[in-house]
Amino acid sequence: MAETTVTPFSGEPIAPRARPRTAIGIFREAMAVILRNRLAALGLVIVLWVSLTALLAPYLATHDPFQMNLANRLVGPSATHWLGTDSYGRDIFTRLVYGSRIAMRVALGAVFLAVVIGVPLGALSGYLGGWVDTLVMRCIDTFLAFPGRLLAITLVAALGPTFLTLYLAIGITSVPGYARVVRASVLSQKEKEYVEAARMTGEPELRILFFQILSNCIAPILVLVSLDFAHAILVESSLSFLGLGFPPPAPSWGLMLNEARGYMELAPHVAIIPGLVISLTILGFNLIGDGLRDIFDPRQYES
Amino acid sequence: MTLYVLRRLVQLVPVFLCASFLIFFIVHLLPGDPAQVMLGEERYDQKQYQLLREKLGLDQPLYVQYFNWLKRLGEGDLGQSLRTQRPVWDTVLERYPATIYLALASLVLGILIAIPAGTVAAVKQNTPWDYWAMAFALFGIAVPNFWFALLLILGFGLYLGWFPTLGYVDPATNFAMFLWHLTLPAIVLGTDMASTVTRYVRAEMLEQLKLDYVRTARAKGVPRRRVVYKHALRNSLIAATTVIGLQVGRLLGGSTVVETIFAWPGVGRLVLEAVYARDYPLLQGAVLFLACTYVIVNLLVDVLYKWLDPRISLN
Repeated sequence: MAETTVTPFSGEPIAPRARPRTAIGIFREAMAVILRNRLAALGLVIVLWVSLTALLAPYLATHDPFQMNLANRLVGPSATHWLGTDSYGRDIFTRLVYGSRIAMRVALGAVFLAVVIGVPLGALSGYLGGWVDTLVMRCIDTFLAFPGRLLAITLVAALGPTFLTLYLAIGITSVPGYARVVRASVLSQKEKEYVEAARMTGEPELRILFFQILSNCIAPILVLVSLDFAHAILVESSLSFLGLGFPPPAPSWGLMLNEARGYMELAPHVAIIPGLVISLTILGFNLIGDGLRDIFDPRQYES
Repeated sequence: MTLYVLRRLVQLVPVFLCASFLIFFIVHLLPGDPAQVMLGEERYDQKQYQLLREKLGLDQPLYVQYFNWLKRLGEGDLGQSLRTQRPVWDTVLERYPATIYLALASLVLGILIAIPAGTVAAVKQNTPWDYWAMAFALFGIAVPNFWFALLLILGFGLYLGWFPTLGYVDPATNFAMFLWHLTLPAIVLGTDMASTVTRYVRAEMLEQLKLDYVRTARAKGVPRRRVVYKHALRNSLIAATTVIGLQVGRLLGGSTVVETIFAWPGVGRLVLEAVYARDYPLLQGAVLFLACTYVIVNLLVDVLYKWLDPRISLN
């Protein structure tokens, strides 16, 4: 008798089918789930909005992000400067638009790095078991014992602010999360019948692991990815706020807030608007992550 | 139990070694030469520079320097600050109280917000109470600490003038002034912590209220109020201990961002100062100290959790 398959998100049984789910199928399912949850849909809108802004930055910007105009410092929102100007007379809207490129690129790189290292590590650890598992988990525990933010600060300070350093400093702290979640999923999957079946057809072990088993662990990975994006944006802006990120005049969101500190009584918009943009972006990714998690498994990732 | 604690302590050894290794090598990637930092910006003569490098042991290979550092760590010597020439250990200990005060204040504030908010949200699930509590939690998660701090400084410091915008007063000198300076930073860190804990308490409470013992107690005629606040809440709090404990670890690890914004002289800010000053030994010492604190607090939390809930398996 064919085993009933269950959708990764809603847990509703779906009709067994001949072929394993494709990436597009999983993506469609995820989209359907997101749209059913209004907050998650809001998150999706925010994230799409920020992503499009980052992609189309040169077309959306109304000014040159580095063009200073000292005669026009700290003016409030107006028809020419939609969100006003900063302490050097630079257009805040334009700088925010370009800043989205830095934020999204750093987040993308950091999350990519974490997934590329963490997922195979967790998968192998869970699938092979034995000493590999012990070794990997010991390393992960040791790593988790280290406060992540402190590691990021020290790494960025030591290596200097480049995109690669930021990917590394932010991404590396997320690796343990992926490794643990994937390991747990693989452990729960590897005794299932479809694995046995694949083995009997003579498929190579690694192929079973990375194509069959991992495709059934996509849901928890997706949850983690969206929450991690939020985390990466938060850490990047914190680092640049502390003056450890890209040096001025880079239009990094955190740096914009740092520069606003001295002027915020005079011109509160310089401190309020960039913070609002950072918060909204973080909120967007969190809402998607929460939505996916609620539907997928309300208990698994609490805390 | 004793065995468990001992085993956990033994497990700390590799963690400590890895941490020290990581910290040492990352710090040595920092650009700039400590001997140069010590001699200052003005021109120095080459001979003096070489002598200083020898004295500091900087002419030796990196691994030798690491083992020397480790050996001195074993003797309780974290080295000397390059800038102030004072022992790192003294500097760190001198700065740590400020971090502890801020952590404790934030912890108390966070718990005072999170537990009632989470409980009410669960008991009145899907009512405006619940929505407000969840909105608060989302706010805390989405809003970065540094921006929230700026908003508080702007509103309560600059416009209303109710609180100082930065600074620190030693509680021994003037306790009222100390509290006054403590308020804004503690609100920032307390809210941050409360947002995570509120969600957890709510989820845990909802779970507990579904369990059989709640129904049994109600069927026996125990008033609902008593069941909720006595039975279910108590069990939820046991589970919440872990989350709160993790937050304590984070808070005691010092918040570089918040301490920097409010010019709060804690260890978190010390780390940043050491980075800016290229003060290797100070940076190494401070980071190692914070990492160890974090690890030990987490261990204590695990032990506490086990003590509160004996069903937890120790493996």
